[in-house]
Amino acid sequence: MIDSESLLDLLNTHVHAPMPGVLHSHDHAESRALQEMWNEKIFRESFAGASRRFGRAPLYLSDHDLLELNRLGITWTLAVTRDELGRIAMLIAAASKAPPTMFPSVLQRCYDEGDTRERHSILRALPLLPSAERFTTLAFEACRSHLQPLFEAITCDNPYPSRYFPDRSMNHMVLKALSLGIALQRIIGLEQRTTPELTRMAADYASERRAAGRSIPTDVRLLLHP
Amino acid sequence: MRYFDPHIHMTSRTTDDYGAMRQAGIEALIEPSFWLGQPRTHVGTFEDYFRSLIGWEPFRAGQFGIRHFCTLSLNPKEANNSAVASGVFELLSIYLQKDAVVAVGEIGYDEMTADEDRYFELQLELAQRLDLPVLVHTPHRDKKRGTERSLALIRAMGFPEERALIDHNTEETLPLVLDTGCWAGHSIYPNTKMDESRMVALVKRFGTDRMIINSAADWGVSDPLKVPKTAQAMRANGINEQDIETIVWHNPVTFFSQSGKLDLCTVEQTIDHTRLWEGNSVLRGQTPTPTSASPVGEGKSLK
Repeated sequence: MIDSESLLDLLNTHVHAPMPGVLHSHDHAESRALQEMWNEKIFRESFAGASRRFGRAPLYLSDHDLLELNRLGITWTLAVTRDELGRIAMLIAAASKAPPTMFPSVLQRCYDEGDTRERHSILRALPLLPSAERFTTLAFEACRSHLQPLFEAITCDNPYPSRYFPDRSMNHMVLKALSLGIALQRIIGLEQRTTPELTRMAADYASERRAAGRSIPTDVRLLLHP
Repeated sequence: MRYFDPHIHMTSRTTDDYGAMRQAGIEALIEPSFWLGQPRTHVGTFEDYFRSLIGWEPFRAGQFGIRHFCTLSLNPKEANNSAVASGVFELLSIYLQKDAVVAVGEIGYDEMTADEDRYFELQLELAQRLDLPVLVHTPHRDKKRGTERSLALIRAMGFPEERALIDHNTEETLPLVLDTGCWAGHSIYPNTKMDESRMVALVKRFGTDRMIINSAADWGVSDPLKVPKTAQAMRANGINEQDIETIVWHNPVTFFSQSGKLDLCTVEQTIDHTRLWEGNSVLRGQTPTPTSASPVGEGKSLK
């Protein structure tokens, strides 16, 4: 379990995550609705418009920040652009601001109505959210995506699948990554999740490729001889 | 020469079209949301359509090295459908925030009803609040009157004219538009609206200032290559390269850049199809591995 408050403090030194309905009240005409601490529509509008506010420039983290992230248990690359980090911070903030029973539906709504950039940020934020096991359905959906960047956002450099996916979902994700030519070393925790069933699936995949006269991804070996 | 098609409904087109467009030099396009041929009966079908215009369709375009932007709106025809109109309008303040949405449009008139007036006005207001330009459709029937009324409404609302693009112009509507500060779009069609030779004559008569052309290709008889074909007709009729480039690239870029969201640097970049989407792949430092599914060869340059 990540210490959300310390993480948010750290993220806020880079991108100030707006508290929906409070900090930006002067920007909006709907001032009455804004008096509440939490307003879902305003959060969704700010989340959608976050690229314009935070900018899309690459994110640079100092060695100090990286050490601090490590200390908080974040050993993977969290974000690569400023808006991605901004959105992650917004989601962590929303998880504590929104009524707890409402947060999952807000997150799903933001994902459903999000463009690829927004969805990407949501998938990167998943392992940092409280009770992250609640969001497997959303993660499975990303695994079914034909948009490779979305598939990579959940699959690569993200501890979420190995922590929360059941075997079948994990196995199918790994097979899809193989077929897309994604380097398997980018899947966090794969070693611990390699089962005899996954090894069999990988062997069958290699056999199918061989029979069709096609090349076999070299990474298959990592699964055949775990 | 590179081309920008600022009005084309790619949802209705095939991958062959995308391939041919890229081959012909089209590097960027805008897909306005519009009427899908038959009335929608649920707000949710609009919403999924909006989502595909900001998600799947840009990805499809990107696989062919074409940068895809869109404009979103409640279109004039369906503004008359009270079962969905207000629900669709409610969605707009969220979806217009998205990165790839570079204007509110198509808005305007179809039959010039009271409902059309209302949603035209509401969407002009929304565009001002969200700091976006507008793309205005002009009607097929009673076109001249519809154009006059659109221009009058824009002026009456105090909407900045340089941020309005009036589309589907003809010989009779173009002078009206150019008399204002609005920009003038022309949809080059095989049989209707405007054709290449008439367009050449209009450019010779009116010049290039605020002039824009598009194919408006959709699910009807239309041609997604009309922008490069019209440029060719201009060339064959002695219009110089610089003027052609003004019409087929600089003008649409200048107009839609007013959104602050026409991010063309991704167009300038070399295509790497593991990063086709927004350059926002999670690949960092690792060697990108090409996917066999991509129709674009790795490292193929856009220039």
